[in-house]
Amino acid sequence: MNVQYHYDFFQHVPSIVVSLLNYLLFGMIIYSLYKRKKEKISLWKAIIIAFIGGFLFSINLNIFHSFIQIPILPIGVWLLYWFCKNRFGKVGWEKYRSFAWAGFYIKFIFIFTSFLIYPIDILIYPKDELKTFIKDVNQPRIIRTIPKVNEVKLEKLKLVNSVDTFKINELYKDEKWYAGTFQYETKMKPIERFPYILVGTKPKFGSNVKTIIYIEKDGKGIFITTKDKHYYFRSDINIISPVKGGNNHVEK
Amino acid sequence: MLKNKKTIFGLSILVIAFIVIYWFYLSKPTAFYSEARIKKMISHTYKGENVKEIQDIIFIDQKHVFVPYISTEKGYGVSFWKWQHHKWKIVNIIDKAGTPRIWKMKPSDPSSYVMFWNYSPVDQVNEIKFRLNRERNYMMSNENVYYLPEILLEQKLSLHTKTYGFLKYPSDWIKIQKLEAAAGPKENIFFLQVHGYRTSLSLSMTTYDKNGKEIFPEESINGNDYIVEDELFDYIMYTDDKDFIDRERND
Repeated sequence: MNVQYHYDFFQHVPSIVVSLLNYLLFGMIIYSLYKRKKEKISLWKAIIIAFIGGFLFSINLNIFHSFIQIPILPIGVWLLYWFCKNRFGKVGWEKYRSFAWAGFYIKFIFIFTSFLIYPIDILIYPKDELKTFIKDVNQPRIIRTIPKVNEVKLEKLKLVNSVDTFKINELYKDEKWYAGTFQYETKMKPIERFPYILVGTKPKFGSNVKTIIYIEKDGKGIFITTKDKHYYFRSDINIISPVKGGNNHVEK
Repeated sequence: MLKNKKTIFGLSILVIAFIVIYWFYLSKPTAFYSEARIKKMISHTYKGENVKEIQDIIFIDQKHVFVPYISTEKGYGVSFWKWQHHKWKIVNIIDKAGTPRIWKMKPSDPSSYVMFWNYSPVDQVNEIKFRLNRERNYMMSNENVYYLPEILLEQKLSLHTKTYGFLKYPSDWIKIQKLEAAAGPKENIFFLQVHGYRTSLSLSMTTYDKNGKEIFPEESINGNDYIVEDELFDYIMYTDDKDFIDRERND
């Protein structure tokens, strides 16, 4: 059914749901058309004809976070017309015509259903809740990504128990950090604010979010980046602790 | 009778196909070449390069071999070999290997990456530091802000009196590289920091003498590559430690 979304299809539940809805609509429309027809062709033929009728040249757009296909040229219908006319003559084509066009027009209905994906996604996977991004903490490991900070380890229980205390926050609220990092015309920059990366966690099932999870120096901030967005969460609870043996200066 | 013939014919085709596939793709590597043969093959492949001494024959894994050597011109070179199509083949020869290379055996899989070097003793290199680095950066548009934290992973190692050596990609590096590939910034993101820093991960390295002082390996650089398979090798850029220290202050 030519479903294309900007999510990895099989890992994204909202896309699957909408696709099932599409199949359901397709089946219902073709079946009701089939029942109303006087000159019978077999149902499976009608379905195949409608399916081929859905092959088309389209313009693909990204509007309101949704990937939509606007049908332009009914390639499938043309093919069927050419094939049926040669094979069965003008009269033979009449039997199939409405199914072929139905296959094409149904694609316009799919434009509306694809607008459902994003709201469903927001509903089940709210991006302002940390547990959307960190659901399972199976074998967590912290990678220190800046050599100047101390080695730390994750307090797994603290993270698991405090996921809800992490609230979405504005990254640039810390003006001193912002100015030091981005505004002063100097080569001397403050040390990286997020010097750890957390690996070994999983996002909510079916959300298909691909992330890199950074942890703030004081262990009370979690900074998440995707390919084009970032999310910053802040809590009062420190989820890391220094590894013994190092000369540590990370405040509790 | 005719049917029988056909069956036999079909079967023998299958058997031959199986043998061919097995022979070229699946068979276990045979013993590696003798030193004399290696020397001959290197000077045969890379005209004008004559090997005086084979320093070592190192199996990276069953099918990939690293052979550092010393040439008659006192160049400390390296050669890379691969078992392919039932043959040990030369993949690359570098006559002076003081600019380390990374060999991406499977370019899409960072766990197959290995870094190699061979320094002339004149340069007195005792330690190498490799870095995997990405600059911090940020983007701001009407509806979106995007901050990219800095990443700097370092791996220091001692040459242990050997002039040559190799380092498999450390596990943290593999992890970070994979994360970056799956969820790193989109390529068309427009970043505002215009210092020419790359927004993707890049490799660099620095060398030190036995007192831990930074030392530039004059004698070992500017080597020529005789590459048989091109896309699998990358240079690792030499960078002064200063470039990394100056950019940050402790706070």
